Amino acid sequence: MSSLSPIWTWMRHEWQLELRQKAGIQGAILYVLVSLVVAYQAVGEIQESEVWVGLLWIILLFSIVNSSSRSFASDSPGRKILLYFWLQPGQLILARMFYQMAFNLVSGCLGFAVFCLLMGLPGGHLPVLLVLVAVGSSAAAALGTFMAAVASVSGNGPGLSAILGLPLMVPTLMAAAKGSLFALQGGVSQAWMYAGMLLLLNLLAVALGYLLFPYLWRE
Amino acid sequence: MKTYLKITAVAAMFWVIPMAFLGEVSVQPILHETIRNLYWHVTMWFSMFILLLASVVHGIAYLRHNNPIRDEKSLALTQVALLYGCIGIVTGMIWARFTWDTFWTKDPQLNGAAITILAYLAYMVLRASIPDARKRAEISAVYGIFAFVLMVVLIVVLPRMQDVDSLHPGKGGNPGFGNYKDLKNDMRLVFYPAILAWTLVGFWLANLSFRIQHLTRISHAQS
Repeated sequence: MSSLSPIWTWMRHEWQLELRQKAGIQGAILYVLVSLVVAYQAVGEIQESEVWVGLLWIILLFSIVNSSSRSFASDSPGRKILLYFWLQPGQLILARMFYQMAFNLVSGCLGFAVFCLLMGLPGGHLPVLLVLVAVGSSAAAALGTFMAAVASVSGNGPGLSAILGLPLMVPTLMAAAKGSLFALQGGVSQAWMYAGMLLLLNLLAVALGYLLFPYLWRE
Repeated sequence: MKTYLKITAVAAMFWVIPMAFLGEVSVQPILHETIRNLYWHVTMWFSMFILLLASVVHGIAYLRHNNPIRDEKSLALTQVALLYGCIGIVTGMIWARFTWDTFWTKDPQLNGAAITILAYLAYMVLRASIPDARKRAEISAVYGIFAFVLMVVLIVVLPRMQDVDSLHPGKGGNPGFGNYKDLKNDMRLVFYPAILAWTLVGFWLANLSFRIQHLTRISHAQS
């Protein structure tokens, strides 16, 4: 990696493309909102912390799968050639991973806020819950982005990236759910430990993606 | 595969199989002699991880040298590991039925095992979806490395860093097998050779499977 600035440029570029196309970002937000409303209609306000945590992370999981699987799907052949010459493969995967991580971190926190509004918050320590939502969403988004890259290079649509990504995202989010359960039931120090582990998982996923992506991106 | 390894595997099997059924084991109230499953169930997971590790090593070697033989070996090892994983789940379910009175419970290790199998089934789906052999080898090697490293962290390391309430021995306040003072060493004398035996048989199976697939590929290329 020669410098960080192309990564930043491409992240901004990605954001501009997203704003211009609108459908992607609106779709992602609508996806979270609709699943929240459906869950609210089905369950209503929740008292038991197990159900609360489970529902929260299922909603977040599918919103992350939905948005991260798009990250390599909309590249036209022309744009692929542009990316191929403009960026080194490591820079491209870092830019896309960071973009998806940031996007899902924000949309996860927004989803969490709406979730609390609708379902209520059964006690618990709010800062650590928020940190868990942030690091959990971004770790799962990093995994999902890499799987989207694998699916795209293999010539398959975003459907395959969900099949590939879910087995890795599920244990990640189960750890986040376990941490959230601790946060609700008063085990704040254990919850912080889970947040730390998820942060390390973020780093590991980014590092592996950076090391392995160049082998995918050579043709 | 070297002949002396095959001889070792057969010799170890001749020791392990009779001893697993007939050898003296620690007999506990209620559980009776269910601990015999230790030689079948636990060893499957050990062997599976060793086979997967070998498969990842071949995957890394493929990415470095682009030798298609490496990819075929990696595939064969993963297939055998997947078979071992399924046997491990089935033997574990039978064991769970007699010790915990249910075939499946919400146990972190059970879920970890199920998710590992799902990840490698996804690997098979990925392979099946790519028609070009070179591309298939490259992409599946990358996925294999990525998935293996994260699986080790998520399923092996993470549950051990915290107080997981697992029903498995040695966790969540349950006594480990080390607590069975009687016959502890006798059981080790069967358990460790059993790991060796199953692992070697796994490599042997993978080797045979690789050779069949390799010959099929060559004959297809010639015809």
